[in-house]
Amino acid sequence: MLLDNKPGLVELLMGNQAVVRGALEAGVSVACTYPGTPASEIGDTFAKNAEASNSYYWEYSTNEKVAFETALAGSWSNLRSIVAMKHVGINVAADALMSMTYGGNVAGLILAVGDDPSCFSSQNEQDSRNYCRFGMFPCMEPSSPQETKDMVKYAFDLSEKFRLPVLLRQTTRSAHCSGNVEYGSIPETRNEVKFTKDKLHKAVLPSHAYKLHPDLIARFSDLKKDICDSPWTRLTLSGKFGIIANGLTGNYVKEALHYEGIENISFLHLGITYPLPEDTLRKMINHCDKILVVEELDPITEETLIRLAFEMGKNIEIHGKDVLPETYEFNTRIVHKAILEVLSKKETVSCQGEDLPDQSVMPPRFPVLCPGCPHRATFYAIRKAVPKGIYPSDIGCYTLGIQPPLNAVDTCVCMGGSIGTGAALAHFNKEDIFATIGDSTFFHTGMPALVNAVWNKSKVNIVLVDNSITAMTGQQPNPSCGLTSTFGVHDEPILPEKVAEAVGVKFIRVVNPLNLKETTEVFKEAAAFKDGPTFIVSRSPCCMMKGFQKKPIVHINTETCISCKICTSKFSCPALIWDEEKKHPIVDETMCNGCGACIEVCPVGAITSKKEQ
Amino acid sequence: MIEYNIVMCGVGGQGTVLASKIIAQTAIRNGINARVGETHGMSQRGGTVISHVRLGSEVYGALTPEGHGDCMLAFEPVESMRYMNYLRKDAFIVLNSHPLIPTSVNAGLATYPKFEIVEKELNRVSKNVISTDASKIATEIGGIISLNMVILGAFSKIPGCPFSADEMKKSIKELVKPRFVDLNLRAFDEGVEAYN
Repeated sequence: MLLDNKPGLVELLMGNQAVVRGALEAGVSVACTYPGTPASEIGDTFAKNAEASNSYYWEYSTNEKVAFETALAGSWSNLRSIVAMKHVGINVAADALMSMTYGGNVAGLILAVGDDPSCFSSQNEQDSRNYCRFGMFPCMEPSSPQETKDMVKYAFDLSEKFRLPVLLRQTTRSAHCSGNVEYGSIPETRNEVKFTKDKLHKAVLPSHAYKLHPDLIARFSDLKKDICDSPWTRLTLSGKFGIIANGLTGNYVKEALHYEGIENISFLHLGITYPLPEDTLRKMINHCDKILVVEELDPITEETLIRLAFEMGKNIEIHGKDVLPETYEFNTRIVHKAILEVLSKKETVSCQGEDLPDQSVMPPRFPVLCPGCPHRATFYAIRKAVPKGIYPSDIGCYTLGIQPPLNAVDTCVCMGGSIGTGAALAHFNKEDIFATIGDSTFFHTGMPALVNAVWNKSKVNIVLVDNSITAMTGQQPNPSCGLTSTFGVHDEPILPEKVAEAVGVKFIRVVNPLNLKETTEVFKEAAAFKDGPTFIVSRSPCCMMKGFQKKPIVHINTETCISCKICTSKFSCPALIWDEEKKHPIVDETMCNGCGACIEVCPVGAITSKKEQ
Repeated sequence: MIEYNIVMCGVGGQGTVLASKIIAQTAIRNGINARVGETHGMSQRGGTVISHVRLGSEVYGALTPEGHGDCMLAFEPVESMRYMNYLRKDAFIVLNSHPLIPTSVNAGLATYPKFEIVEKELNRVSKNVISTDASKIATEIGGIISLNMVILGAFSKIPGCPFSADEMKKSIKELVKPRFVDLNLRAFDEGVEAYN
């Protein structure tokens, strides 16, 4: 469906899928990613279509820096290249990104990023436009899946014209929004592979970088002029009140104006949101006496507008962060209120909201580990073995071990951070340190920290919670799962325990966490080991993976049950429901994944395997 | 069509995403502009989920503006209460009365309200609530996995539903894996009957 070469066909595509369709229509030859929500489906869509399309090189890379380097190498080889990652992934890729702009790319290079205002699935709300200011390259922001697709095609041309990467910035809201997309055509041919030797532009030695910085500034200022005439700089001059909005936020402006029936305003809808089309902004300043800037997160457009008005000596009213928040994603209601505030108008469209259901009767539904998730058993065993430890953790499903009643995560800061901070915590604190990290995260940035822990003789205990897949972002393969980037069979899985052995860890064990008692004993043994770091691979496949879903296997013996509630209130599998009237747990068979870990949790053997009956 | 907003809510794993896609696909095949907004939380299963399906020429954003939802398809009682702020007064609510007990209740940190309380709270916003144990229906005909189709069947019956049952069934055939089509169509028909 996504590969249909039928111009004019209209399909329902998610923003992330539209990125892929746009890239295909632009003749992309290289695509790669490290998965991260909300950008994960870009990679997944490339993976799913790679073999059928047979027109691009595709890989899941081990981290965002490697992925970016892969795309850069594609561009150097005269191949149109795209790399996808979440916003914090740019922090990892930044080392390559911030220097390559000096020499510039060859074929078009797109960095498709998913920002996450409101932190739906991220550790911060960083605004990626700042990287464009920092590194001097353009940012584009679509407002619909159709625009996303069209913008990617435009971005490849823009990138080639100015030899700069283009950051395509979606947010959670746009990346995960589906809508009508009308297809264009996919070209039959791709660029020819050709690596041209050009040391000045491809090797940023100090002497080269010194020469190239002025060149970068010159290219960037040409681009600044060019975008004033871009079809993505959409200006309508009408009334004296003007609104400037970025891609997505323009939707909220349009809806609010529609509800209010306001028509005579001037509107600048920006598709290229960095650098800003300064001549166009000057036109706005000359025409309007009052301008509202509607941008999520940082006041980048607003500050530029204030500077331009100052330079022009125009004393007009500029609003932005005085009436709109600097945090979280916007919606129509927030923007609607801001417009009314600036216009000193009262709301004419009634929004009900006075008489809503009583919050206090709604029990909270925390995000939890799935029923049958092996991580629950690992955390339960850690708490059993080392009840008073310090528990650094990392980025993945297992961060959910922070929730009560498991309470087995104390810190989480960035990818790979569990080993880096964990090793150091062991130098400074007398408690046992049990750091948890997933398989994909270990290969991402955990490995250098492991080498550091061995080298600097830390006594950290590293528990590699290995579910043999990159689970939280939707089950992508990684080096340890024995799969290729297109989910084929890989001959040589790269096992974390082999890495630990090679770098000199002296205590290495591999356990199955569903065998709770044995796992708990191994953790106790690790805590007692003091000759450098320990490395325990707690391995059991993700229960959401195809082929690993099992039928319920447990049975509650209500005669034996002593109503101690340990299974529901300490182990907390969502498939075990406490029956308040009968005072024993019941198994919700629609949820139970049959892992059987709860059998060993029960102190009196009241949970038994159905097979044993 | 200028604007028609459907709010879908439930618990991760209940199939709200596919249900949203089926409605949006039906719209697109009928030449109507559509937006689907999904919220993926941190957990793969068991967290609260909401998705929006928005149809019409004046629809731009992915989220139903608060107070503008015309209809809610609620896959779980408590989750229906949580998102009532999106609905207009007396919007239509299709409710699955089958509760999924959150871990907060199992751990003794909160209590799950009785169904009468849920209904009373929903009635503050809308008296147009139709409810049945859709989970039970789905399980009986061959799998909880078809719950979303029972709900869609019910949706086809509510006043103001922009599509006929046949139009939606066409999209089900298009989007569901071939081996599950029969089960899903049967579940859809059961939904039509059960909420009649």
